[in-house]
Amino acid sequence: MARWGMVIDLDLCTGCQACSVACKAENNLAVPQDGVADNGRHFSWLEVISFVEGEYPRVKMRMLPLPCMHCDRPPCVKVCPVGATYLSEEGIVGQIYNRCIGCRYCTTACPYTVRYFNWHAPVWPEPMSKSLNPDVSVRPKGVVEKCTFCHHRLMKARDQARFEARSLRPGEYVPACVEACPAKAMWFGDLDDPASEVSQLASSRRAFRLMEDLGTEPKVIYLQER
Amino acid sequence: MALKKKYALLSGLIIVTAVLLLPAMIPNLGSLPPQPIAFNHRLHMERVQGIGCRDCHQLAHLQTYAGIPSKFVCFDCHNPDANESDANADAFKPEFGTLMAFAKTGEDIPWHRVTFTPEDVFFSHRRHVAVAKIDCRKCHPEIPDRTSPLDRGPIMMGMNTCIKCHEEAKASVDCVACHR
Ligand code: HEC
Ligand code: HEC
Ligand code: HEC
Ligand code: HEC
Ligand code: HEC
Repeated sequence: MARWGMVIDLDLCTGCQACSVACKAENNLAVPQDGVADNGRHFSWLEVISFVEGEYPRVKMRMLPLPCMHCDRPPCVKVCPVGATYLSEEGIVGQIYNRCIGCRYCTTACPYTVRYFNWHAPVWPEPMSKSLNPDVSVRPKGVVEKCTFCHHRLMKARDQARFEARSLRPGEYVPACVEACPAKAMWFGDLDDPASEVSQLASSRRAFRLMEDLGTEPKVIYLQER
Repeated sequence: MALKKKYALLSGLIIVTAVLLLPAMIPNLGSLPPQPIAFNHRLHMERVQGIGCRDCHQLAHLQTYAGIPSKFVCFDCHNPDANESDANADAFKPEFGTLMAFAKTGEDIPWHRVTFTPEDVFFSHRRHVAVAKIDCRKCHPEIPDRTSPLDRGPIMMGMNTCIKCHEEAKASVDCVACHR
């Protein structure tokens, strides 16, 4: 059984946000209406966070693409009162929208703040509403959603592999953000496979994970020279 | 005494409304607009020697969806150029008339779907039919006996049916294997 994980090289990342746009298109993220963003209720599953490091005159602009960490010990799962979120056998933190009651405990428990609540019914401007991705369901108002590592792509890839009576090949299942990254700063694969790119990069000298001290054991690994 | 009577009246009223509302509460009882042709599954399964479901639903073994056959599949057997003067034009029942009318237009027969899974569920026909080799009748038991199209719907399998078989067959019961 695979254990899916992602590696993001911050030294290569240019902060272009192609990953964020690709994610929105792939996963049917709504276009915010008037006033939604003003209330801070607009979201994207993969935000590129920018922040300034250091003090003037020695400052540095940093860019941090922030998807769901798919923690091996996810705090959000522990607090869900209805079992709408859980850690799958393959390490994906799944969100079952029709099981979700919208209590938002998970959005509070997540230290990375990568869980988002649908305050509004999703809407798209006219031509866009006809080009939604049929592989991903549209989440209704009142449920929590988040990055899924594009697991609908895993469903399809595995369906194809089983149909051809073979096992899943490396690189056959890749999320939209990784596929889109023009700087080739993102990798995706099986962290338990010692031959995979991600597991080799994860043991690199430059590797670190966000808020490691919390013990959440994220499966998104960043690379950066420090 | 008066109170008891009131209660009896009230509960009677509740029961009557419940009975009246019952059809609205069971989703499978919603009736649908008729299909363009009163297609007869049983007749085709009985009259044509050795016909299988896949002869018409040709995508079920190849794709996630089974698909309703296009008019060109019908014309493999029914001659689109036939007319009333042909001696052997299958008796020209009114239904044939409708089928032949479609032969002359550029459009396909506008069948509408009745069997669904909800938008957030992934279901693959080829996975079940070609990989797991499950007979169509196991999941669509009513079809071979239908003499007319399904007219009540939508038909939904329900999660219990999926899970029950998956547990028996040792297939995945992971939520994100089906929910997306
Ligand atoms: C001669 C061609 C033909 C054969 C053979 C055939 N079908 Fe169909 N099937 C159709 C057509 C046309 C429709 C659309 C009209 C209707 O709903 O009856 C249809 C509809 C269906 C539907 C309903 C689809 C929906 O959601 O509207 C199911 C399920 C189905 N068929 C299953 C089967 C199964 C199972 C078999 C084998 C026992 C079979 N069919 C054999 C032509 C065929
Ligand atoms: C494991 C159960 C299962 C088996 C086996 C199965 N089906 Fe289905 N079928 C379904 C479900 C569930 C749906 C609703 C699917 C959806 O919404 O995509 C469906 C839908 C359909 C439809 C509706 C139209 C469409 O495009 O999907 C047709 C036609 C159909 N099946 C025919 C068949 C035929 C023919 C076979 C055998 C070759 C078959 N099915 C085998 C479960 C099954
Ligand atoms: C494999 C050959 C075959 C295919 C393919 C086929 N049919 Fe038929 N069909 C038959 C036969 C045989 C009969 C029976 C003729 C008879 O006995 O009058 C029949 C009868 C019919 C009838 C008359 C039914 C009645 O109530 O008497 C209709 C309508 C019909 N078919 C429609 C269709 C449609 C629509 C399609 C395409 C989805 C189709 N058929 C595909 C062989 C076929
Ligand atoms: C084998 C496929 C499959 C798996 C595995 C599965 N589901 Fe479902 N689930 C379905 C289908 C199909 C439906 C839609 C049923 C319908 O409405 O016809 C559904 C519907 C639901 C619903 C809506 C309520 C209902 O019963 O209609 C909830 C809630 C749900 N599933 C939660 C879960 C959770 C939580 C898990 C994991 C423990 C899970 N499901 C695993 C197939 C599956
Ligand atoms: C009659 C038994 C049966 C029924 C009913 C059934 N399945 Fe399955 N399903 C199987 C089997 C067997 C497999 C394993 C196929 C294989 O070997 O890959 C499977 C595999 C799957 C998979 C792939 C799981 C994976 O590991 O990736 C999905 C998704 C799935 N089924 C969805 C559904 C849904 C949704 C329903 C209900 C609408 C359903 N199935 C109903 C027998 C069934």
